[in-house]
Order: sequence, then C-alpha cells, then structure tokens
Amino acid sequence: MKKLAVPLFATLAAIGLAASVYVVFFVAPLEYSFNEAGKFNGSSLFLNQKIMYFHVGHAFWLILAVVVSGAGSLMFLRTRDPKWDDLASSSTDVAVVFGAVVLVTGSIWAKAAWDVWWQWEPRLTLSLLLWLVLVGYVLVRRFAGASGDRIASGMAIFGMISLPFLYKMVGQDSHPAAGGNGVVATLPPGERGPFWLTVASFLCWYIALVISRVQSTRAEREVRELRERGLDLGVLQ
Amino acid sequence: MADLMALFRHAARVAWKDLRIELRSREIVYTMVFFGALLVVIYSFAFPKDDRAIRGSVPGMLWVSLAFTGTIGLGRAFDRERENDTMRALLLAPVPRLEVFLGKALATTALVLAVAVVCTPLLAVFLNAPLFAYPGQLILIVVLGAIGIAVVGSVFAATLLKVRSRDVLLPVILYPLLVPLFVAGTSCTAALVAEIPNFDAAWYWIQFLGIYDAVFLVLSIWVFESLVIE
Amino acid sequence: MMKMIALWVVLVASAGAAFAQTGSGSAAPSGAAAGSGGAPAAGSGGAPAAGSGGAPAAGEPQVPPTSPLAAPILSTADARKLCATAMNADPKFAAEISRIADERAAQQRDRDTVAAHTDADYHVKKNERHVIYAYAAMWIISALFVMFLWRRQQVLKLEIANLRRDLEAAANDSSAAKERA
Repeated sequence: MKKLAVPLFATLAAIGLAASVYVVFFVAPLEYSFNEAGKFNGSSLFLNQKIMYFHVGHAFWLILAVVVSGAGSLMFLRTRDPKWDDLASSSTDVAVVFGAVVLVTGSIWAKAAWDVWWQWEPRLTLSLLLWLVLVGYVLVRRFAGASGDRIASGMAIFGMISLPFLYKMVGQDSHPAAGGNGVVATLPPGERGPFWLTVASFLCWYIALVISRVQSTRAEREVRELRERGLDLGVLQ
Repeated sequence: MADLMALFRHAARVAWKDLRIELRSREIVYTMVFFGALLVVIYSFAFPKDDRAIRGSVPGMLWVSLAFTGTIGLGRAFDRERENDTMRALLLAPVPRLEVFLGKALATTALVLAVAVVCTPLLAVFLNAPLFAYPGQLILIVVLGAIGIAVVGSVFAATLLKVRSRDVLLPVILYPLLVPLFVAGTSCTAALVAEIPNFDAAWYWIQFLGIYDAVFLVLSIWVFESLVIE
Repeated sequence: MMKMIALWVVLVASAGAAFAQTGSGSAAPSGAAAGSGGAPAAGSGGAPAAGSGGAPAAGEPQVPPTSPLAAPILSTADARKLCATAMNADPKFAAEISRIADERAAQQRDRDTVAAHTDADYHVKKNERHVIYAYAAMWIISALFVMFLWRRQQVLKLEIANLRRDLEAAANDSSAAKERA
C-alpha cells in the first residue's frame, strides 16, 4: 500500500492536470467585459485570467503545506520522534516550491492586470515573508549540521506565530476579491467547475510530492543510522 | 508571585554577570557602538540630504543599524560562552534554564540600547533629523524594539551555538521573523519624524510592538527548553 | 428640390447630433425620424469616445460653409419635425431616406464588428505572452523540484549500495577471522 502511494497520487495528479489544462482553456469562459461605448473594458483579462486557476490552486495547498509543517515541527519538539521531523521538512520543501510558483505566477498576473510586477499590499507582502521564512528553514536544515532539525522546527513555530502580526501590519488591499468575499465566492458559475478541478489536481500533486519526499528522507535517515550503528559495533570502518 | 520575583531576580543576576564581564573588557560594546556609528556615517553619504528625503529615510537608517549591530552583538555574546565553554557550567548551575535565557536576553537588550543611545544622537546631528522632537515615544519604541530583537535573537543564537555557519545563519533565521518588529519600529519613528507628526499612528505601533514582544517572550519561554536541550 | 433639402437637413442634423453626443454623451434621439439613423450617430459618437481602431467618422460629406444650408443649425427636434413632414409629404422620399439610413447603419455595424474583432485579437495576442510565461514558470519550477528529488534518490541508492558493500566486507572479514581462530 505504502509503495503504491506515490505512483497513485502522481498518476491522479497527472490525469487531473491534463484534464484541467483542457478544461481551463477550452471549457471555461473567457473573461471580458464591455464598457459603455461598446469597446472592451480596460480591465478585461482575457487569457490572463487563466493564470488564476493554477495560481490560486497552488496558493491553497501552500497554506496547507505551511500548516502541516508547523504542526509537524510542534509535534517533533514535543515528542522528538523523527517521523514528525520528516513530515515537517518534506512539507516545507514542497511549500518552498509551491510558494515560488505562487509568487512568480502572481507577479506575471500583476504585470498583466495592473501593469506592475510587484506591489506592497497585504497578501503579496505576507506571501513573500512567509516564503522567506520557509527558505530560511531549508537553509538551516542544510547547513546547520546535526542540530539543524531542532533549530528549523523552532523557526517554523516562530514563523507561524508571526503570521498574524504580519497580517495586521499591512494596509491597503488591492488583491482581487480579497477579504470577506474571497476569490471563490465571486467566481462566475462557468468557472467554478474548472477551478475545483485544478484545485483537486494540485492537491494530488502536493500529496504525491510530500509522500515521495518523506519516504526519501526516512530512507536517508535509516541509512545514516545503520551506518552509525555499524561504526559503533566496530563492524564497519 | 514569589516565584515570579525569584525568576526575575535570578535572571537579573545572570544578566548582571554578563554585563559585568562585558564591562571589564568592553569588547562587544565598543565594537557594536563603533559599527553603529560607522553605519550612520555611511548613510550620510549614501542618501540625499534634502529635508523630505531625510524625514523619509531616517527611520529606516536607525532600525537597520539596530538590526545589524544587534545581530553582531548576539553572535559575539554567545560566542564568548562557547569559547570559554561556560555554557555547560551555566546550564549545570542550580538555576532553571529559563532564567539563564532571560538573563542573556536582558544583557543583549542592554547592549542594543547602548548602540541606540549612541546612534540616535549621531543621526540627529549628522543628518539634521528631528529625531528628538518627541523623545518619550521614541524611547518607548526603541526600548520595545531592543527587547524584541534580544528575546527572539537569544533563542536562536543559543540554538546555533555549536553550528558551523552560525554567523550567517543567525541573520537568515532572525530577519524574516523580526519583520513585524522592524515595520512597527520604522512606521512609528516615521510618524514621529514627519512634518506633521501622527500621534495616533505612533501609539498604534507602540501598542503593536508591545503585544509582539509579549507574545514572543511567552513563546520563547515555552519553546526555549526544548530547542536548546541537546 | 424638396428631396435635396430634406437630405441636406438629415445630414446636418446627424453631424450636429454627433457633436452633441461628444458633449453630453446622451443617446441622443438623433438621425431625425429615420428609423435606424441612431446607428450612424451613435457609431460616430462612440468612435471618438473610445478612440482605438474605431471606424472614422468620415463618410459624412462636409457642408461647405458658404452654402445657405450651413447657416441655420437646426436643433434635433426641429430637424426631426422638418424631416417628418417631408417624409409624410412624399412617400417615395421617405422610402429613399430610410434605405439610405439603413445602408449607412449596416456599413457602420460592419465597421464596428471588424473593429471589435481586431481589438479582441490584439488583447488576446498580448495576453498569450503572459499566460505562456506563467505556465512555463510553473512547469520549470516543478520540474526543477522533481529533478532535485530524483537526484536525492540516486544519491540514496548509492549510499545503500556502499553500506551493503561495507557490511559484506565486514561479514567476510569476521567469518575469515573466525575460521582462523
């Protein structure tokens, strides 16, 4: 069962992604609107709106990845059971990747929709800072040696706690349909189907990546422990 | 209540130990303060000197100086423990580890405040910035900022004690976590330094930073033991 | 003679309505009483307002300033009344005017459609670039991560092979030592 987990989810993700690409480009309605003079509205997004599907899809699971990472770090510090640490670090690796995708695609959308590459508004600032904390986590794991897992867990927990402060401290909100409405509620009906399909595909993708990474990390740890045990027993050099 | 008093007394004693050692050689204080002063001199050359630009950039200059010198001070303070291998002795002492941590944090706060005491007048003089127009609020925000830097910094500097690339890893870990602190500090200072000072905003940020400090102090106390124990 | 006068009146009225359109922006009851006369006026009013790729409001012959007809600029209501009386008086004239107005409207609609299509095409082309960049970025980042995972797997396999080799060597050594002892 465990051996099949990654191939299963990866296949689901692949099918889902292929289907979403088709659905997003050929089934979902093109977004545009007319102004009073009968011309296209300057804010019509046309094809750019398609970016939203996989930008938001990745963003959802970025939040999940961060929560899993924080929870895993907390459990690891409590129980010192390495399997929690495996989970936390794998989820953080995937979160870094998803975060990079979110930031880059969001920036391209911003250029298309608002003609600026970047804006210091709440969600963007928060995402960037969260991503920096995650990258710091990865660096610490890599370069801090044996105690890296502890330090990184501490970072993850502190990072989670500082999120509400980051949220409070930034001001204007120009993200599309941010705040109470939420992006999902304001989607026109034709777009909801494709949207949920992409979200589901990216969930399978996230699960596949995390399980693969967890298995890999666990195997590395076991090999390391075996080698150390061999050295201790004097069996190995 | 008595426990709390005992806690603070022990923490103060640890802090006093650190500060007394420091006062003897004054190594960290001198280097930190001098580094801060050099930063101010560099800013004087690096940024335009018209009045509006100064009012805009002085908050950033002050808090960046505190950030950099704070990181250096943290690194050096814990380096000293590592070099003399006194960390083990400290942990073996019949003082709960929590108070060791609080004592270190207190000592670091004092060091950062020493830098602030020197850098702020320097900024006001070299750049002709009206930093001391409202000294009460400014002192408050700088003290709160120093406490925040010291508390969060001490946790991670302690964990990085034996790590090889700790010098560069400490800023890597610390700065993203301290961003709310720096935003609060610079926004408050900017509100105080502006042509028409905005006291509401200044008080908002002072309260914000106070809550931030309180939350992270509690979090550090919870997490310190499990993070630093081998 | 009446036909000519009425025709000029219609033309002047629609030109005047076009100017009034840009000033007030109202869907002026222009084009006099000619049924679909609203289309040419709205079209030429819309084009200056939107400005891009719109059909030029040319095609209205300019009234020479010295012509006696140019002098009195009639209001829309007056022009409409004049035209209505002329059309009621002469049914052939009415049919003729209606036909001309319909033709004009059809031409303007065609021009508008072409303009709208070119506009949309321009927008879609411009967006294509962005969408392609965004998709490319997503795939490249994901591919880099998958490659990173794959490399770690390879290193792991190598380590396991090393460990196995070392263990076997150690086992052989110990069995050899046991035999000697």
